[in-house]
Amino acid sequence: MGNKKIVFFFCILIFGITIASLFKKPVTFSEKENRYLASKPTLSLDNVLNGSYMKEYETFITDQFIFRDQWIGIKTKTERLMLKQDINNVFFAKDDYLIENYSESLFTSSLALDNISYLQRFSEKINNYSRPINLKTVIIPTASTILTDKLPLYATPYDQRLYLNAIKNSVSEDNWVDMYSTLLEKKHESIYYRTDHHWTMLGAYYGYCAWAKSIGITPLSFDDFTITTVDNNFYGTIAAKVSDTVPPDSMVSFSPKDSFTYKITDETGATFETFFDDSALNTRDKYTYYMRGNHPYIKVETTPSSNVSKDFYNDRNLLVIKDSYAHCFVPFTSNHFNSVTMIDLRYYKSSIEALLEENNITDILILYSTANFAENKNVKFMLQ
Amino acid sequence: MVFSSLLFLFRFLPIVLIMYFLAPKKARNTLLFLSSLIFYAWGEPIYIVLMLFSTIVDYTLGLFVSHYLSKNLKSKARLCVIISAIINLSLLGFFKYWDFFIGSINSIFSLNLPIFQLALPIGISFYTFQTMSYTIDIYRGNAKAQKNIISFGAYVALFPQLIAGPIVQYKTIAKQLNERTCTYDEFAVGIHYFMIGLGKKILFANNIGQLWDQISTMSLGQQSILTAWLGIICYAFQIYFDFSGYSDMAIGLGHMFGFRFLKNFDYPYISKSITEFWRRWHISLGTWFREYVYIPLGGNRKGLKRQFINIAIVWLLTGFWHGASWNFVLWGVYFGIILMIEKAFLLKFLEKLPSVFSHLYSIIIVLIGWVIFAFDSLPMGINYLKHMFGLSSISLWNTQFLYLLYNNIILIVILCFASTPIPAKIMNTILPYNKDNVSNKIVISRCIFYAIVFLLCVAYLVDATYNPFLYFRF
Repeated sequence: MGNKKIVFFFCILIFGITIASLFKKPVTFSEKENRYLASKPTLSLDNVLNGSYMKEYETFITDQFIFRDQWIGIKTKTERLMLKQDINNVFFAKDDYLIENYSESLFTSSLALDNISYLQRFSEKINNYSRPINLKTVIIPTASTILTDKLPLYATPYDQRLYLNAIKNSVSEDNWVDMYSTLLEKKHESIYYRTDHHWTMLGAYYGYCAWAKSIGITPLSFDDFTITTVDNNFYGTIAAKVSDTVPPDSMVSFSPKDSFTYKITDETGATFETFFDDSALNTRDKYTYYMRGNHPYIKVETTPSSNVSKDFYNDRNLLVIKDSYAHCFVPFTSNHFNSVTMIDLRYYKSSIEALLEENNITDILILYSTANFAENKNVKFMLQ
Repeated sequence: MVFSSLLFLFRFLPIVLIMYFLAPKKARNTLLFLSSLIFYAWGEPIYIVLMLFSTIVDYTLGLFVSHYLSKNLKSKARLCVIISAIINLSLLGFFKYWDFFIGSINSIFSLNLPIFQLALPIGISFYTFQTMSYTIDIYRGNAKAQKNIISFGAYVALFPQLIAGPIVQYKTIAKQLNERTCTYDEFAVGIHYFMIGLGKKILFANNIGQLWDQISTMSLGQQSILTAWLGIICYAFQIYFDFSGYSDMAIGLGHMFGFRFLKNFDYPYISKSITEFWRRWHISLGTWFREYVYIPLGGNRKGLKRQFINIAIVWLLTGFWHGASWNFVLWGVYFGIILMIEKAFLLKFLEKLPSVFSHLYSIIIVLIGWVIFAFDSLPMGINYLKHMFGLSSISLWNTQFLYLLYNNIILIVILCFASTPIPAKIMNTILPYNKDNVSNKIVISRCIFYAIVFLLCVAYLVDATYNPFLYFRF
């Protein structure tokens, strides 16, 4: 009798979950994980014979599994109970920080080393350009190298200073801005998000000060800005990897008190007057609040009102070659340059030289996080 | 397809179970045969032809063997057995060993003979061994030829044991192929084995395997002596819980469908000698080699010298069976030599030692064996051994070792415990399994236990960043 009950219980488990998962409607996009989920593959003889149908079908089941987020939450909680201090390469650090752990192999891969030599060739090219152009390289270490005090006991992530030094040694002293010491000095402030891999706009502000000084511009001070908390419920990409187990982040925006008028044009020709997109705050991927997310090309033209007295240069035009760390950084730069052009090499594949001439570029800023720079397959397009 | 996947648990298994128990008994072998083909084709659509070929060849030869035996033409029957062995070994030889042999010959004689770089058909080492055992068993009179090709096909392709064993000899399930009863009691036993196996694979093997992966790919600068030991202990746990978990799942599924496979693992890590270890590890493979190679060669009946030669042959083959690579050959030779030493004198000495020392001896010998097994490249394996024995000027421990240790200490303690018979004993004491009189309390407790294991496994599968299949080389 008893065994009959065990068999029934087993059938309820297997068939219950099967039926529930069959009736669950597929979702195309996971806001939480910020990625497209696999959809049901189409059945064809070719697909079946080469096995791709079967592979895609398995990904489809896993991606679309019922209560997906809850299952991941159960896994995270179990691992934490087992004293695990990092899950899916995320450290559960002090003060509710989730810090991404990048492996050493990421920074020692041939791609990571190739990217350094592309940068070196690019810097030589710019330094020997037909007219003087001022080049600065800003490579931002991620939280695991700056917020080391917060890491779990004995945790030893890869020390990104090694990679930073390798980049620094490949370009000339004049082309380099030291972000490591800049950020280390401010490590007690909220310069990184607790749940996202980016730096905060505050972190970007400190970065901006160091960069501005390096090119002889006096940065605007805190008092020159109105600083507003625009959101208190931000869960970023790192939280998505381990399911939300920490309180959400808040996001701030810096707007200069002096009146500047911006004309922001994207690659489609659409124009905007502000760097910030309030509608993004209603989505999961709130970081797109800054600069409306990833664009191949964006140009900011600034008109200062007549009473602006701080360093503003009508005759200087800046080109920013960047990853998404620049999205909260570029707003600061626009208060000093006649125009700022920002390109993302993942999508922008046209000639850089043409761009230099077209926009009469006087200054170039290369801005990447260490991890993005090391694993970016498109750095080579700098030389185009 | 593998058992430890959402696809198997929530698509394949429920559909097969429903159809199997709704189908009339006569149709059940056909159903098992067809569903096994789908199971196999899911990962290997093309190679299914190979398995069908092997099935038809051995089915036909089996009939001939039985025919000639009934006419008392023993030499013709014998010829059929030899043909079966030649065909099966050629399949195995071509698909598994061709590139390795030719590659080795090319590099020794600087030749340029063609290699094919074929993907190894999954499970080929298991099913060719099973079909060979079939004709031999008939020849020896241990089993009757199967007249029904579908039933024979079901034996060869039977999905529970198809891709990772155990190697089921035909005589073990000959009767069950034609006549088997499925009861609630049998099914409940199957559930128990299956849940335990699933937990071993997903919760134990996959988790500790991640740590091994991390340690085995560390740069020299990150290594320490204790880290290297921790790493190989993780690998030992991974391969044991992965392999025995698969066997348990196979045994459990077998029970659900009315088959009884033999035990494949018997707590190998509690052994007090290597001789004992190999009686407890992958039992179905050891039995196969003993019955079809070692004993026919004369076993231990022709004097010590001949016995040592037989051991050498069997262990060379055993090593080679695990993969077409020199490290597996070396691994077989390593254990062959140790077994000879134990036979010669060491075993008697070990018996007199306090058991702490004989356990320690066995564990260290086995761990060194796993280093040879784990690295395809011999230089890398030797390097790792140097790390372990402090010959590569690295420190005894470092902060990373401490970090990895305290992050995994609970898991490691659980795994040590789970490698012994103690948990099973406790389970049987507090939740005794008694067919006739099972109290509600026990039923509920068992259900809760299965539910926890199962739901945790599902959670780990949904977030599966690491779920390897280790036997693609076998």
